[in-house]
Amino acid sequence: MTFCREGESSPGLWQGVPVADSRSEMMAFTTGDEDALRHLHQVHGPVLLSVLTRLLRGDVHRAEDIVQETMLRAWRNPESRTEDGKWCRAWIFTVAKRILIDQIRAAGVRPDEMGDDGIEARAGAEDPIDRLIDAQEVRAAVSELPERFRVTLIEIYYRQRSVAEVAELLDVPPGTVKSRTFYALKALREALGERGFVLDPAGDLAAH
Amino acid sequence: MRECHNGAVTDSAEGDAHIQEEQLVLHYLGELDPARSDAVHRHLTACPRCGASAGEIVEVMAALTLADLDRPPATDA
Repeated sequence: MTFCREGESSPGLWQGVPVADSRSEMMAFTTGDEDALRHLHQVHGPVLLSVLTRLLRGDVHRAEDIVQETMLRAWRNPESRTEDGKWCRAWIFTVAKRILIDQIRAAGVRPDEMGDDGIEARAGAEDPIDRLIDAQEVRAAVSELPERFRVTLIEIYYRQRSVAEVAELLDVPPGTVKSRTFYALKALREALGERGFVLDPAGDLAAH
Repeated sequence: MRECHNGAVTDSAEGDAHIQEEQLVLHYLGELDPARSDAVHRHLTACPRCGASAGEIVEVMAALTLADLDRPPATDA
């Protein structure tokens, strides 16, 4: 079981995720730690960097700083991993979001003043992140995916179930789960493009 | 420096071959074992073609994450 958070049908990353203690008590890295940390960077670093770069309106250097801090906290906190040792996506992104919000609040600026391109603030939003992104298009695009794609994406991405678990859940071969995930992402990319969602935020992504 | 000039499409992350996009997806899902992910990662740093494919997958996953980040945390006072 790779569940790393509570949740029913709707993806909600936030329940029960503790904030890591960032006091620096440097522990000696073992080879296993180095391997685990490298794996964390390789697997989750690119998506996290892309998310943060978008939230920071293209400020890739600040985004990289938050990626580093997030990874360190993940390494220090046992709750950042699932029972079977996989890094927990929900934990990682929740902590990254908290770090970003803390920075925004510490800087005493409203997030809509951070960029220089006049971000439209949403009235009444309590959460600074609310002001920075428009997630409606993505959610709408996901909801319009064919059901077999949508269900697979929710289980494997938001709930971070393994391929084997989703295969069992949906009673299909693992290969079908893999191909559905691939085609779901492809379909989502096309749908987002049609909706005018700009998929390429400023900044260097992935392995360029 | 790894090159991928032989043009073979395979699901192997080893050697010179390109990496199938399905494998890239599994990589970013954390579904590959660490040694395999490491090989994928090393290939991506050296292969612009696979790097571009990886970038597309990363962007869609980032969009998925952003859609969820938009939801306020229930525990955030």
